[in-house]
Amino acid sequence: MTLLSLKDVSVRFGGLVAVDGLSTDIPAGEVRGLIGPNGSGKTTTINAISGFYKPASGSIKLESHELVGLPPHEAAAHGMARTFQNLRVFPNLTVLENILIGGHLSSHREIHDVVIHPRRVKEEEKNLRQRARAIASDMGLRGQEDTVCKSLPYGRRRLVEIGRALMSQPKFIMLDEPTVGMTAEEIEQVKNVIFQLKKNMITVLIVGHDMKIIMSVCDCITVLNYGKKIAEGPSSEIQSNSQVIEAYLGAGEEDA
Amino acid sequence: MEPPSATSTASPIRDEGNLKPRLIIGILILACLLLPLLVEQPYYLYLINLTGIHAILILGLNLLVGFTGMVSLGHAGFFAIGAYLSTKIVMNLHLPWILGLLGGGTGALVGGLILGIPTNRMKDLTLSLVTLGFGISIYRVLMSWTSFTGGAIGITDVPPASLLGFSFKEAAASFYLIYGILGILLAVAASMAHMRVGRALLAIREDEVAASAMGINTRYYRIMAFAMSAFYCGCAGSLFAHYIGFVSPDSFTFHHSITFVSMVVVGGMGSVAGSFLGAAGLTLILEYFRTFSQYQLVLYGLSVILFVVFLPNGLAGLAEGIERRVSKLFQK
Amino acid sequence: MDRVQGRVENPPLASTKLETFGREVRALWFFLQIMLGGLSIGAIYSLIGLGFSMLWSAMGIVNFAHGEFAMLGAFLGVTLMKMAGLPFYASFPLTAVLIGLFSLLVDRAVLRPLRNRDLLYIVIATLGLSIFLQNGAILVWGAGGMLFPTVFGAQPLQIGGLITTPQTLSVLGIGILLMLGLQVFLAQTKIGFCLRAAVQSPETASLMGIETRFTNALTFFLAALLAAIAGMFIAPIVYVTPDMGVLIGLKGFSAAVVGGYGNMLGAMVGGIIIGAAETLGAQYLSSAYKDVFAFLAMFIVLLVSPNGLFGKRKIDRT
Repeated sequence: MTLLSLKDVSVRFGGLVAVDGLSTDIPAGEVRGLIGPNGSGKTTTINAISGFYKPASGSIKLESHELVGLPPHEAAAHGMARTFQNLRVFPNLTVLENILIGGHLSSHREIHDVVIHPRRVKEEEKNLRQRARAIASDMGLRGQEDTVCKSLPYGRRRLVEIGRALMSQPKFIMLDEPTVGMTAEEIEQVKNVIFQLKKNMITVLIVGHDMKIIMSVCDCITVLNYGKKIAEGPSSEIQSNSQVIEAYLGAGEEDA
Repeated sequence: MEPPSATSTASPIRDEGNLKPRLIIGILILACLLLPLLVEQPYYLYLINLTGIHAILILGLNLLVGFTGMVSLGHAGFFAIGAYLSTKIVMNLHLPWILGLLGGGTGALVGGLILGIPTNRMKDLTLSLVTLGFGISIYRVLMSWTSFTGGAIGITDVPPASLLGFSFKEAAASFYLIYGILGILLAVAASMAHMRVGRALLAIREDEVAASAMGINTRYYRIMAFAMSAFYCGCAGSLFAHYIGFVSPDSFTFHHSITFVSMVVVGGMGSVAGSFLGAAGLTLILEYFRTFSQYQLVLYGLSVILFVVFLPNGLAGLAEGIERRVSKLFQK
Repeated sequence: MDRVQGRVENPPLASTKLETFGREVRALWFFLQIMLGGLSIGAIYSLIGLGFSMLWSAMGIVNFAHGEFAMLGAFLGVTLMKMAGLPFYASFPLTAVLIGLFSLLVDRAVLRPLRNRDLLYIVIATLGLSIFLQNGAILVWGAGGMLFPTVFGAQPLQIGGLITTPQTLSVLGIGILLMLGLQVFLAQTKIGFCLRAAVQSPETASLMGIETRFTNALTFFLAALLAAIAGMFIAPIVYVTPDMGVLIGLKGFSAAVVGGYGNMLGAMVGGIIIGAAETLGAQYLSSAYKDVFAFLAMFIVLLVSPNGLFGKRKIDRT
């Protein structure tokens, strides 16, 4: 079953075409990699899918729900979560608080419920916190739940961001450069998380520059260059694809 | 100048229902119930009552400024709307005070929507400016629309609050009324802070982009925060008018708006308890400096500056920092 | 001719047309007269707004006490003229420079420690500073006001069909000259170039040997200097009081924001809009709500264009 389907998506900024007629289908449960030289439109694609940029044309469907034209919070409500290339953790909040906010979509109690159904509110809160702690532990952040994020090292903050995205129990999660600035140990953590996601049939889209990771975790890789898809297939194919090699070498040395 | 320890932010989500805060609240409630009997000087009781009214106002403003990060420099306007509307409802329409309270609060809330909806797209500084302009405009209206507001003189002989025939004329009675209402509104705000609503507001303050990616409808919450803070201010305004016994534009100037925001900062942004600390702290500082007569406001301005430079997390942050260090001591 | 309740019915056609035309011309001249006043006030707001925009684009800070520099300028100016007996062409520049130097002190004491903090804290701190300076002024000069002499002449002057004063014209003229002078300074001189470079990119500028501390200080100095002059311009109209800086500062700030915060040309255009709105509203609608009109104009412009007329749209890079 196709989870995410992009048909002929184009994103323009004034005269600049950042994404040009991109079409691809991601089946449910797949771990897809999205790679390409700098400026090839990877993050723009993610922004378009999550609703931050409106495509000039094309359609983006998540399980048959059309996402184009939806504001980010509505797009997220269809079961999608993401992390950011520039790392957007809530700096003055603790690890736990960050992750809890990720659970915004899974909690449904409003203020009036405090008066009408106080026990249900307490129940929901308790469950949320339990889940958040479990996620923190999974991400290797046990013991640091009450640390304010801005005092955490960069790699740990990225782990928090991923944990926050997981909290919403998404069907589809997009990780934009998730391993930048991480230690080897933290990268292993991320790899394990991704494998876990795969086991739970959660679809993942990873944008990355670290070829080792992309090649080792992804089932299928889409390659962009100047906003256009130039190759798509399993990692073995991509590695030997002459167009891909040329795109990267032409744009400068990439550390593989 | 480095801000003090990065881990000492004031935050409402920290405790997860352990016994300690409940105990403290219980003791406080007990103390509150006995307070009017213990305090002898009527002036002190007056200060305490005033602090209570300010606390309601600061609580509301904290929702907007501290939690959501939207700096409004014109909230004296909502305070005024609540006060004047309530006065008019009781004195001109001869309706019971409770309707004055609700009417004032609702009127202010509507004002909050009128101001909050169009300004939703505006970024922080522009918003501050627009709200400032709003506050000043309200002041002008208070001064110039003499037929409705009584102009510079205002409206005198405002009857005290009354519920079911009982008139809250005595300061002690007003104490129970004010702190009773404060207690209810505090409970609402505190529970909000611990729920998804409070977290959503904090998320918006910290990073709107990430917040919307998490499914938070930033537009809705921003407008809601505006409306709620206006409502709280309006209620405080009604209590104020019927406690003091008169309303005049002098109580609702631009200086007041700024004082309110500094109370939020001094108390601790995003901290429910901090709102009360801020209200108390600043009311007391103002009164303390009164003894220096002409230097009063100079010192007040200076202390605000000092607070901001040295205590960015406010009094609540200071309290939390102290608590943390004390508990560390006990752990050793 | 019928006379119904004093109104003249069916008057001879020819004189009606002439009368109406005459009335319309007079109304036009009157409107221009009011507009001239509005432009003059607008120039004052522009001078203050320029200061706000300069501080923002160069240092990323807001100074809510900026209006107080105007107030201090007015007080110092009147003190120099009355107490020291200095003629205005000496006391004006002297006051401006002294206030500029004073502002450096303020920057060092209050704004430097807050350099990297969140904007909110700078706002609160400068608001506290505003209260501090206002009440400091009360301590020095007393709470009552002082009269600022109309140095450029208050006798009415007739130009065409409108009546104005040399004061109004001089304020407008000098204001425009100052703003043009600032533009020339920034565009043509070496120091001006350094300032602009530092505004565009502080890191690159310092790499190229431009001392950002110096450019920051210069920016602050210039902003306060302009504010002090603006204060002395508006003083004859509003009467010198310790709280005069508040409203002026706010309207100057509004001018800056209306024009696009950080944009110099915008601050000038913004000043005109605010000044015109205020004066026209006061004349044709109600003078009591003068300030409301100023803020209403700002509100309406911002509704249409939330980043101001010439404001740069910040692209949020996700």
